[in-house]
This record gives sequence, C-alpha cells and structure tokens, in this order.
Amino acid sequence: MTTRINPHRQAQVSADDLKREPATIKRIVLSKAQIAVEAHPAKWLRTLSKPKARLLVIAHSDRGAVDDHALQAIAAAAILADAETAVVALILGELNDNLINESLKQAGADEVLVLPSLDFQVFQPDIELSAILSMIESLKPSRIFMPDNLIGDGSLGRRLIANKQLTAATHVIEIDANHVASAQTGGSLLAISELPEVILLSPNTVESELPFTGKATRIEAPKIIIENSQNTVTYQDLGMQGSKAENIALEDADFIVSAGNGVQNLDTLANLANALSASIGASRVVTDGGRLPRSKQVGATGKTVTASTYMAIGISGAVQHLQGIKDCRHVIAINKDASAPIIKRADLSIIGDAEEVMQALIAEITKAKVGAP
Amino acid sequence: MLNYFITALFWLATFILLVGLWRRAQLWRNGQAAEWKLTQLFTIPKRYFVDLHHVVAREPYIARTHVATAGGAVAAIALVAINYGLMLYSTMLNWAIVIATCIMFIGAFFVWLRRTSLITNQPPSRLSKGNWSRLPYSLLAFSLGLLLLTLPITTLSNSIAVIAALLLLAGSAELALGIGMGGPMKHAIAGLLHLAFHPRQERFNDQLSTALKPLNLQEKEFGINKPSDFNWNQLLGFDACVQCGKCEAACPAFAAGQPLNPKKLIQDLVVGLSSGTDASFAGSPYAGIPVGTHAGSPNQAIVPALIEAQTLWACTTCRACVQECPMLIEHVDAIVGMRRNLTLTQGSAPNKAPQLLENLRQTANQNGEDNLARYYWAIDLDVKTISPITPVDVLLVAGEGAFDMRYQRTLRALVKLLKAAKVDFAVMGALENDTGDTARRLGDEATFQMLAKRNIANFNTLKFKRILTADPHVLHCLKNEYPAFGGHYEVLHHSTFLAQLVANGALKLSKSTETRKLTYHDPCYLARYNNETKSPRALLKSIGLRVNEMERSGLRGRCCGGGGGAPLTDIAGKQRIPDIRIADARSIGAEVVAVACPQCTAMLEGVIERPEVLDIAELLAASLVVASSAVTGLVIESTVVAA
Amino acid sequence: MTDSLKRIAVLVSAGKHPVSGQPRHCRNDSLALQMGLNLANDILVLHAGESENPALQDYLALGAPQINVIPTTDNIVNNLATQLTNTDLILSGTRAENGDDSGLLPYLLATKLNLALVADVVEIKAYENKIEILQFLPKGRRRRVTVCLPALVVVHPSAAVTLNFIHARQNLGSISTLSASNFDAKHSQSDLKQWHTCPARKPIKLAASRTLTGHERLMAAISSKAKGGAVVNEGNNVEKAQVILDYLREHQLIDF
Repeated sequence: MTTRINPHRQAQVSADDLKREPATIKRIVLSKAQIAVEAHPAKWLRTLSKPKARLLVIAHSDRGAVDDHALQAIAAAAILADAETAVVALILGELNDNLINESLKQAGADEVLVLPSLDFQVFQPDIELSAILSMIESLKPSRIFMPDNLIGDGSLGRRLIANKQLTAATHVIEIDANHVASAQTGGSLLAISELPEVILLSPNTVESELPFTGKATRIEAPKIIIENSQNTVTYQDLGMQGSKAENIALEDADFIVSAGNGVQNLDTLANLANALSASIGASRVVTDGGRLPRSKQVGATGKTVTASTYMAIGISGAVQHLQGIKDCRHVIAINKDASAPIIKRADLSIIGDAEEVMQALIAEITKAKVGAP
Repeated sequence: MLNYFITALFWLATFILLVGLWRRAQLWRNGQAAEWKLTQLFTIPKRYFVDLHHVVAREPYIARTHVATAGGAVAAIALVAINYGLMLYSTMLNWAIVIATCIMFIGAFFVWLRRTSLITNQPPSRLSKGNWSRLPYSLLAFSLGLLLLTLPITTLSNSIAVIAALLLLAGSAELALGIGMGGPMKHAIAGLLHLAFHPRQERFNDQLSTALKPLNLQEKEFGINKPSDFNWNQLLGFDACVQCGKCEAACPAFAAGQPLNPKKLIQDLVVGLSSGTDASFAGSPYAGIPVGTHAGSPNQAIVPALIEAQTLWACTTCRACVQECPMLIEHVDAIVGMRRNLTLTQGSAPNKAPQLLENLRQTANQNGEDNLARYYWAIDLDVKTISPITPVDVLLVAGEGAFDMRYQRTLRALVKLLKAAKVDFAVMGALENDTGDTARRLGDEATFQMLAKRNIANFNTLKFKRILTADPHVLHCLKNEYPAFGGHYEVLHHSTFLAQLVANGALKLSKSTETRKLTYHDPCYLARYNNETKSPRALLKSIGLRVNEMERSGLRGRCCGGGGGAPLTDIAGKQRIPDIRIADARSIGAEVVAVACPQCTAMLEGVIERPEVLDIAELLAASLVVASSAVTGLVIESTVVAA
Repeated sequence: MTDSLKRIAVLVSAGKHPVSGQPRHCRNDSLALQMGLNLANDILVLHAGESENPALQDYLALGAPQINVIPTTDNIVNNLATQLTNTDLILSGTRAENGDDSGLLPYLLATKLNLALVADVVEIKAYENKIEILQFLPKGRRRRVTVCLPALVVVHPSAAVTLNFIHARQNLGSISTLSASNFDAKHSQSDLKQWHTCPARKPIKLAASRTLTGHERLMAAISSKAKGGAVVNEGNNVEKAQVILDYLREHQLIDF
C-alpha cells in the first residue's frame, strides 16, 4: 500500500514548522482490564539514596493538569539523573488532585514544589522570573529543564537565560547524557552542543513512559518574597479572551469535527461539535454544495489543519483531503463504507451510519458530562 | 427638393460622423504609444474578408445577415455619396441604391428576427439588449427611408415622403451621430481600424501569436493600472466589440458562475476609456456583482472602481474568448496586463497564489521542493541526465508535473515509448527550473523573467537538438515566450513528437486493447496556444482508437479550469470548471478521457465521479509491440495503479 | 497609524530556504515588519549581517522603506543595543531561520536595554506611552495585555497581518550600511557553549534503558507491529460511540 502524496500541496516552511511525528499509538484498548494492566506494570523507584545534587524541572500547569510536554521534561531529567541526584519538579500554577501527582511520579519526579499563584493564565513575567530565581537560589540545581512551549515556559526560560547569562539550548529536539541538538535553518541542519545549564525541550523529544518512578514527595514551597511592584507597572493583564470553538481558525483548532458527503444533517454535526467543544470543518463536496462556507474546507485546496484530533464524519478521504489533515495526530473516521480511503488513514474507524453514530455519541457525551465530577 | 434634402443630409451626416470620429480618436489617443503606419489601412480588405470572416462564418446565419446588412449599407452609402454627395442625381444610380437598400433591408430584417422570439424560442442570452436591441430598427428605418426616398418611379405623396424622410433621419442619426457617441454602430469604424492597427499584427500572417509581451521592468513597466495605460490600439480594439457574447458563451469561468464575463470586461474597459458608469450595460452581469455599481475614466485606477479584482483572477487564460471573438479582440492580454499591475504593485494575488510565487522565487519550483526530486521518478528507468559534456538529440523537460505522482505515470510511459523508438534523449535533472508559466499568467512578470533567464542560461550550457515536453504549458513558454528573452529552441509536445515517430516507423504500436468509449480533451495550451489538435488524434487513430468528439473540441475545446493559476486564485463560483468538462464527456457516454497535459489530468481527475483519465502516452505505451522484461514490468505497474 | 509612538524599530534577519538554501526573508521577521508598518510609516529597520544579502531585497519588497545594516562583529546584542537606545518599540520575529535561531536574541536585547518584553504577539494597538497586545496561547486561547513603553515585542507566526510581496517596492527602498567604527568590536565572552552543525537527520528520542521480561518483549513486539488504525465494524451505535469516547479518553483528548 503506497500512500499518494500530492506534490502540488502548498509547502510553507518557516522556522517554526517542525514536522510532526506521525501517530505512533494506533492500537485501541477496548477492555478496561487491559487498560489497568498496561497502566501499572511493576516499576521500581529510581533512587533511594539521599540526594547530593538536584535537577530542576520548571513547568506551568494548564487548568490544574500537567501536560505531556511538561512530563517529558521531567522524564528527561529523571533519565539523565544519577542515583545521587534528585529530580525536582517546580510547578507554576495549581495542581488539581492526586492523580496529577501520580503522573508526576510516573514521569520520575522525586520532589514536587507548587507555586499556585503563578498560573499561566495570568501574565506576570517579572514576578515569575524573580520567583524562579529565588527558587534556583535556594535549590542550587545543577541543570534546569523546561518544556519549550507557548503557555509561558518557553518565554520564562528565555528570560531566565538572558537574566542570569546562563549557557542554554532551546528548541531541543534531541538529548542524551552527552549532548543536546536543535534544528536550525528551518529543519535542514542539526546544531549539536554538550549539555548546557538550561535546556528548553521541544515536544516528543523524550519517551515519558519510564520503567521506574520518582517519589514525588510534595514539598512546601519556601516563602518567596516577590518584588511585584515593577510587574504591575510594566504589564497589565486584561484577561484571557473568550474563544468559542467556532471562532477559532481551523488552522489553530485543536479538535475538529469535519463533515463530508455522508452527513445529511449538519445540525447534528453542530451539536456534536458543541458537545466536544470542537471546531467544524468540511470536505470539498460540502463547501462546494454551499452547505458550509468555503472557509471551512479542509484539504489541499482548502485549509491545512494540525488539530490533535480530527473526526472525519462521512468523508471518503480524497487524496486532496488527506493532504489537508496530514499533520493531525489522531484521526477518527465515521463512515458507512469500510473501503473508503479515510479508513486507511484513520487511527480509529467506526463503520456505520453517520447520523446514528453522531446521535449516539452526543448522548454518551451528555451522559459522561453529567456523571463527571 | 428631396434630392437636395438627401444631399444636405449626406453632408451633414458626414460632418457629424467626422466630428464624432475625431472625438472618439481623442479617447483612443489617451492610450500609450504603439508603432503604426498609415499604410496599414490598406490591409483592411483582406483582413476583413479573410481573417475576420473566417471567425464570423462559424455561425452561418449571422454571417449571411451581416453580409447583407453591412454590404448593403456600405454599397448604399457609397452610392449616395456619389449620386447625392456629388449632386449627380442619376436615375440609374438611384436604381442601384434601391437594390443596395433592399439587400440591407432584408439583412436588417433577419437581424431583427433573431432578436425576437418568432423563430427561436429565445434570443441567445449572450446577446446584449439596450441600444443593441434598437439597432435592427435603426437599420430597418435607414434602409426603408432611403429606399422610399430614392425610388425613382413615382413621386411620393407628401405624407409618405415626410415619413420616409423621418425614417432616414433616424437611421442616419444611428450611423453618423451614434458612432461618435459610442453607439452600437461604432463597431463598424473602430472594427475596421482595429483590423488595421491590431496589436498582434502577426495574427494576420498565419502566424501563431499567443505569447504575452514582456514588460520592461527596469523602466518600471508594471502593467495596466488605468485605462490610459493600455496602448492606444488596444483601446481601439475594445471599442470594436459588437457585444455578440460569443466570448461569454465560450468562457469557462462564466459557465461556472464565477464573476467573469469577457464581454462585460471589454465593455467595462470601453466605459473606462470613455468615462462613465457600467449602468447602461445590457448583457449578462459578472455573477454576483450587480450592474451599475462601477465607474471609470481614462486616468482612474481600474481595480476596484471599474472592475473587481476577483473578476480578473477568475480567468484561466484559456483563450476561448479570443478564439471566438469575431472582432479579434485580445481579452487575455488585457486581463494579464491588469493582473500584472495588481501583482507587481500591490502584491495582491488572492488565496494560494502568493505562496506559490514565493516558492518559485525561493526554490524555482511551485511547491518548495528540492529540484533534484523533479526526476526521482526516472531513477529506476536508466535515463540519462544531460550535462554540458553529454550532447543529446532530444532533451526531455518534464515541468512541474514531474513532482506529481499521477503525472509521473505519464512520464514513465513516455520514457518507455522513447526507449522503444530508440530516441537519443536525456532529462534535464536538477538544472531545470520552473518555466515561469504560472508566475507569468498570475501577473508576476518579475519572477517569470528571473526564471526564464535562469533556464535560458542553463539551456545555453547544454547541447541538444530539440526540447521535448509532455506539458503544453512548458511547450508554450519555451517555444513561444522564451524567444523574447533570447532563448530560441525547437520545442515539441510529446504528442507531436510521438506522431512523427509513428509516421516514420520508428515507433511500432499494435492495436489498442482498450474497448471503452473514448474521447479526447484538448489542452488549451496545446490547441489554442500552439495549434496542435491533429497529432493527438492521429496517435489515437494509429492504435485503432476512435475519438468520440465532445461538443467543444479542438481549437474550440473547453478548458479544464487548470490554466492561468486559476486553481490557486480559486475564485468561488457556482460550479467548478472541471465538473463542467467531465459533464461534457459523460454526456457523450465517454468512459475514457484521453488527455495530453498534467494540469488537465490533475483537474479532471479531481472530479469524483468521472470516466477514467489517461494520457495519450499511457494509452500508447500499453500498445507497445516491443517486449523486454523491463518494459513488461512497467506495464504491470501502471495497470495496477490505474486500477 | 498613530503619532504617540516616538520611534519604532524592527529587527530583520536573513533567512534561508530550508530546501533550496536560497537566501530569503525570514517570514517571522517579515510579520514583525508588517506590524511595524501598520503602526507607523517611518520605522527603523535593522539588520545585522551583510548588506549584499539578497534576502534584504525581499524586505524591501515587503515594505521596508530603508534597511540599516549593522556589521556582524561578535557581540550582535551590544551592537544592536547601541542603535536602539532611543526607541519606544522594538519588534522582532519569534525565531530566525538561519544560524543561531534559538529565539534568545530578543530576550538578551531586552535584558540589556532593560525593556519590557512580550512574546507570541498577534496584534498590537498603540496608545500614549503604552501598547495593548493580543498574545497567542495554544488551543485557540488569547490574552490581552497592556505593556508600558519602551518595550520589545516578539511577534508570533500566526500574527494577523498579511504579507504583500510587491516587486515595485524593491526599487523604492534602499539599503545602507552603518559604518563599523560606531560599534563595539571587542570580543565579548560568548555565553553559549560551542555548537557544531551537521545535516538534519531524524532525531533520536531519549528513553530510559530497561530490562524487559519475556512477556513485555512479546507485548512490545506485538504492539509495535500493529500498524493501521482499529476498525470497528460491529456493535450497536451506543457501543460504537463508547469506543470513540474510550479512545478520546485514552489519549487525553477530552477531559470528561
């Protein structure tokens, strides 16, 4: 089976266009028992000795949770740490519950410090910088790891580097005990250096599934006296902007439900999108027919999307369409025809009537939301 | 008494006509200087009776009525000039005038008949109404009035004489006053002058004249911004338009409901050159743009006051309008001229066009690929790559289609045929840059010239006898447009070259096993731009395939929608052009559409429910007699992929 | 357009096409340039590098009225800083695409000049002594912040400005080189460790080394071979919906 790639696709290569990894997890686990087995294999504690040194990982939480990217930074530190070095996770922002602490443990964090007032949703760079400076002062880590992300860590890390004139590597896409490497010139070169003091990691650089765990001991954060007058003078946060899914540009959307010819009732689709807080996309046939505006068209002649989740409903998957979703991490297809090209692309395919499956899915989501705490 | 009336009227009309013409000429003179000689006026009869009539004769009804009406009118007016203008008042000449006016009357009657619902259900929608609906009546009035007044037999009763005089007066007003005021009859004078001073004189010497004219970028020539940026003879050409709407009927963008109607475009330019609004335009509007909301004048920017940018970007540059135009107007030159200004001075080509142009500037191909990858499809075929030290007979230039996995099958089939015919050939390899065809059509003359100069510099380092390509856009650019930059090559389309190989016996083909009903889709850039319609058909015939012609084929074929950068500017319409073309094929029951262009292949294959689309080279390769193992492998592969 | 800003400067770097290697403008910096042009006609465009670089022609076509080229001595930050002392607003792209594209330069410069800095900016409105910006955050979120001037703004690649490459502007703009004598040519101690480059390859993911049990090896072998997505043919619609929900939960794509 060879996949046809249209050479007429529009390539737009800027420095920030790092190629995404194709989906690696393609197996679904249907039974609950199996999930349990896989989630908790026997693991050992990475180190029992009293730490003589520390590796510090700094990351913001997002709405109470720590995302994969941050966990990867912790895992990187844990993999590179020796038996006498502790991995300290400094979380800026709230942490929701013990489950999150468990994930920090699984990622190899030995100590966890939380500064709940430094939520990423509040723009307070000077306060954050002085906070981590004083933490660094007291912890004296031998190295600092941060996820190079856009919820504040990438920027905070650079402020730290510039302020303390530290050796650093940013956009790191490869790391091991001896070196770090970053992509340069839009990805055509690899720049390599020995490990610097501050490492800003790109996503998916580290396997966060570890054979060991950390202790994840919650440590009371030392009282930090923050000189915050400067920050309030310089920056005034006017707040986050309400961003309804329908207002998000398709290119920026993280979750897209997309309609093809097989969708008769676009109202159902809109309801589903609403239930999932997803943006709406469409195949060419649908926009050509005037059923949805052309701005919703996904594909080579429409928008190229990079959503984490792309739900293709009633879309057969013409080559041009598949090109438009080539960077989507998880593709879920709902289609009547099991031989449609989209099935070969999808990570999960449901063969069935689009309308009926959508209705059932809406009902299940409603149920789940009511049941959720 | 009557005689003096006619004499007076004649001289008065002549005077009014001359004043009107002089005023109209002032409008044309707003345009830029272009080379002309007074002696070009002598070319008019031949150009009128041969070149123009050749186009008009495609519609016999209107050709005959026009011969009668115009011939009658010209004869009658000439005779009036002699008999009354010179005050001879000869009865013999009056008889001659009577015969001429009768012929004109009959012609005008049929002109009128066509515009009524009497013989046809509906006059064609492409015809303009407004003062063009008035014209048959004016002509009837003129001929009837003149007929009655010059009838030498009886003396007319006073009342009839008065009526006849009024009819003649009305008719003469249309002819004399109307021309100066921009009425429909201005086509007669402007049309004849346009024939003499046509911006593409080569057209009348049986030469193909489809290449765009280069801009002198160093002299800051950035295309057409305002009507007065056109050359004066282009403005004259717009004035020649008779609003017959044949361009409209042929235009694929108009048919697809995109906001373009070539007829209205020319009329808008007439509005621009003569200052005014488009309110009096009485034909089909641009889809979705109401008539009467735009205005222009010679020194005012055309876009968007007079013409919206989307109108210009909807054009596929297929030249169907130019092919159909009985007045030999050059619509595509005008459109690309205006696009050039938008692109070069505003950078405002819509949708994906700017990205493509950027890719061309930065990588010399349309999608930012590695130029080495252009010939990856040939790696396993043992094909030579040309270099300065390896001269070859035939240099194969694959074009942008080479990056497309679909078109690579065509190229592989072509290579197989060339090998079977033992042609000494090589591919261009990494030395090949995009020809700049799309950039040029999108108005980016700067990028086009940069690419053209680079390609020519590369060609100059190589030794080859001729260039072969499977892409008609490459063919057009290299063959017709590179000479202006010093690149003179013999360039052949693969259909032409293969037809030669078949004809001279170098390529031996068996009868095709293809039994399905087949049609052939003419690429615009092969047929209209390069006048090649025979070779593809001859090739299909040579392997025993019968071509079932679609309604629009050959030089009058319908565009696939892929030219002129239209898939990139992607102007919204009600339908897509390739869907219309596939509907053409399905309406004659075709199960296979033979093509000869990567753009056509991609556009037509983009239609979901369609006949199979196969390049001529693929059809021929399947009928190849030679059987070597390598060749067989190829057949199997292409069959599998096609299935 | 606003008069409240005294002086706007835009930093532009020379880009390089990742495939062809051809010099070009760096798109991120061009967005910053266009943002600057939207705020004022008269802006200072600074480039540290060679004035002959064809990439600068791109910036002229993209609207730079004049480009001032600073020679590249070792300390670019100091050299830039001397040119930017009296500037209200400095704009730059998120990341260069040639050479050291760490995205650190704006931070080093802001620290040096003691400027406020905001990153990932997609919109700017200027007021007296301050600007209001819209900041990009992932998943469609945006934040509004006012920043007191002088400030350095790092523009996000999805900034809401349109780049217009206008050939005719290449003839209008000019490029001038600022003489090297104005600059600090002293070698400052490079604060980054030595880097060396090699052609790009697929990066190797860091993973913990582990000893596997036979069962784990078996499981790993099976799971890595499972290519192609799961196809659910059977079951009623509720079960099918449940499978989708399970999938979404398993991959943490939903939070309910």
